Amino acid sequence: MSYAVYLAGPEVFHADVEAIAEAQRSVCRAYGLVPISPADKGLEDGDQSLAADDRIFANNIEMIERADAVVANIDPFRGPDPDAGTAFEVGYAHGRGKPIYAWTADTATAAERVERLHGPLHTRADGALADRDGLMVEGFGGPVNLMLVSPATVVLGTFEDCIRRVAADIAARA
Amino acid sequence: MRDGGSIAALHAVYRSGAASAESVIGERLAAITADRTIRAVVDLDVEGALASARALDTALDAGEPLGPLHGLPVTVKASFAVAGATVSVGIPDTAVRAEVDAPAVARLRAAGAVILGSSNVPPMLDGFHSDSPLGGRTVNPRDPSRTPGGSSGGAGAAIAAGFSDGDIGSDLGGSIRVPAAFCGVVGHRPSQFAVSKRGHLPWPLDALVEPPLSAAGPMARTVADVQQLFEVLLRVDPEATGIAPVTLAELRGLRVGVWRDEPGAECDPEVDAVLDCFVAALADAGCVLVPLSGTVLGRPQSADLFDRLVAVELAFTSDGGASIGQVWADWEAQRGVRAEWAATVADVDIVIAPAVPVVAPLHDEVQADAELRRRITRWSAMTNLAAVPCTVLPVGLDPVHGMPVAVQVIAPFGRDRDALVMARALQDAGLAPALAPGSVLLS
Repeated sequence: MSYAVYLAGPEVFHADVEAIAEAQRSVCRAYGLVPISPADKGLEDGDQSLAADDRIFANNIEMIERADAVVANIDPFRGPDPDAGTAFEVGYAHGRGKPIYAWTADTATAAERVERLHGPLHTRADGALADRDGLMVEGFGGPVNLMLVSPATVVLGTFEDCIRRVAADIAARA
Repeated sequence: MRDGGSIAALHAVYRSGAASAESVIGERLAAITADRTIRAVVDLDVEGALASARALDTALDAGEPLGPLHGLPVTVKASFAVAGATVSVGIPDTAVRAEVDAPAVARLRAAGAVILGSSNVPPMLDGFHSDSPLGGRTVNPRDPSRTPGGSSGGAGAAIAAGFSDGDIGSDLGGSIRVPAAFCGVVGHRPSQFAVSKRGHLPWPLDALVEPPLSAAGPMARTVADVQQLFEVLLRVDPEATGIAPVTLAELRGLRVGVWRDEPGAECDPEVDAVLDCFVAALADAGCVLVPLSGTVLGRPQSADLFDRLVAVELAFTSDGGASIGQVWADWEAQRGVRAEWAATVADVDIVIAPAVPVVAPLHDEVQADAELRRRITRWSAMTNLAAVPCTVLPVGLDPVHGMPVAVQVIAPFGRDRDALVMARALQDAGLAPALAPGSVLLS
C-alpha cells in the first residue's frame, strides 16, 4: 500500500538542503506518501571503493530504483532550463517505467523562460522563433523542453500542489 | 517514547537561557497584533501576559523549579472566565469582566502557563464556525477561505497559526474535536467531570452545578503537549472522576476497533482516502484490526436521545419543555447506552473512528446548510452520548483540497490516558504527522 516518491531537484545545491528536504518529507508524509530524498544519503553511504561523484550517482540510481514514482522540480536552474541532473533522473525513471510528476512554480512557457533568462527572441528568416544565437526555440507551450513535458504529469504550482496531485491519482486508482 | 512537543522544546530553551519567557511571549503577542487575516484572538492581554512572563523569568533566575507549563503561551476560549478579562459567548450583550479565573484556567496559570488572551467563538457557542459579532470572523490558517470550525474555532486557529501553544476548549456536540480536526491540531475531550467546567458561559459563571453532557479539555499542536495540559487540567476536588493509569504499551499486537460504519455517518471520498491509508498503516504497524459497525451509538433512537440531552444541557434557567420525569428517563437511557457501548468494545484495547466526515468547509457553506451541520457533529455526538474520552489528532491531508483529516482515538470511560498514549504512539511512529506551526502551504 505504501507509495514511495523520489524527490528530484536542485534543492541539493542549497546551503540549507537538510531543512528543505525535511520540509518536503513532511509534506509527503502528510499525504500518506513515503519520501525518498537525494539528501537521505551522504558520501558516507554506498560503495566506498567508488570515487565520490560515482558514489553519489550510484546512490541516486539506487534510490530511484526503490521509488514508485519520481517527483521532479523543473524550476529554471542557472538559466532557462531545469537542473541537468534532474532531467537525467526523469529520463532514467521514465525508462524504468516509473510515473513522472514535474512541478514548477514558474508558469512561463519554455520560450518565455528563454527570453527572460537567456536573451531576446526574434523570428528567423525561415519563420522559426529563435534565440540570440539564431537557434530555434520550441513553441509547444509547455514550461520546459518537450522531452521532459511529454512523459510527465506537469503541475504548475508548489511542491505541495504536486504531492497532492500524486495522492489524488493514487486515491482515484484505489 | 520520544520527548516531543513544544513544551519540552520551550523548556529546553528556557533552561539554557537562550531565550526568556518575556521574549517568547513578546514575540507571540507581536504576531497576534500584526495579524489581519486569521483573527483567532479576540481579547489580547499584552500587559498582563508580559508581567506574568517577567515573574516567571525572575522565578527561574532565583533557582525555583519550572512548573509543568512554565512560560507556555496559551489562549483560553472566550467562554471561560479569566480574571480581569472579558468573558463572552461572542455577543456584546453576554460580555462581562470576570473577577476570578474558572477553576480550569486557574490550574493552567498555577502550572506556569501565560495567558495571551481569549480565543474566538461563534455566537452562543452554537455552530461549527467561529464568526461572532464580538470577535469577527476567524479563518482557517491552512486556507483562509475555509472555516476553522467551532465552537472552539479561535482556539484551533490560534494553535494552527502558531500564535498560542495550547487552549482549553469545551465540547457538547464536537466543539473541541471539530475545530481540532478542521485546523489539523490535537484536542482531547475528557471523560465526564475529569476537568472542571465551572466558570464557563453560557452557564452562570458562579454556578456550582456543572452541565452533565458537555466537557472541557485541552487543545495543542502535538499529542505530547495535550498530554501535559490534560495532566495539569485534571481536577483534584472531591467531584473528580477517577482517571486510570496507562495500560497500553506499544502499537504492535494492540487490538484496535476500527469504527467507520454507521447510518448517516458516511465520510466524503477524500476523507475516506486518507482514513484508508491510515488504517492500512495501523495494520503495517502490527495492530490487530477489529471492525465495529452498527453499534448502539449509531441507532436513530440514540441520536434522538442525544438531542433531548442537549436540550436539557442548555435549559439551565428554564424547564426546556421537558418534564422532570422525561429528563430522568433520558439520563437512565443514557446509562443503558453507555453500558451497551462498553460491552461492544470490551474485547478491544482502543477504538479509532472518523473525527469529522468532511474537511473544513468554506465559510458560507458551513452556516447555510443544516444537513452539513448534522453531518459535521455526527461522529462527535455519538461518542459524547457514550461519555467516553476521545483524543482527536490529524492523520493526513486530503488529496483534493489539502485540508487536514483527523481521527478520534476513543477509550473506555476514565481511561483518558490510554486514548492519549495511543494518540501519542501514532504521532511518534509517524502514522499521524503533526502539522507545522503556521500550517501554510510549502512553496
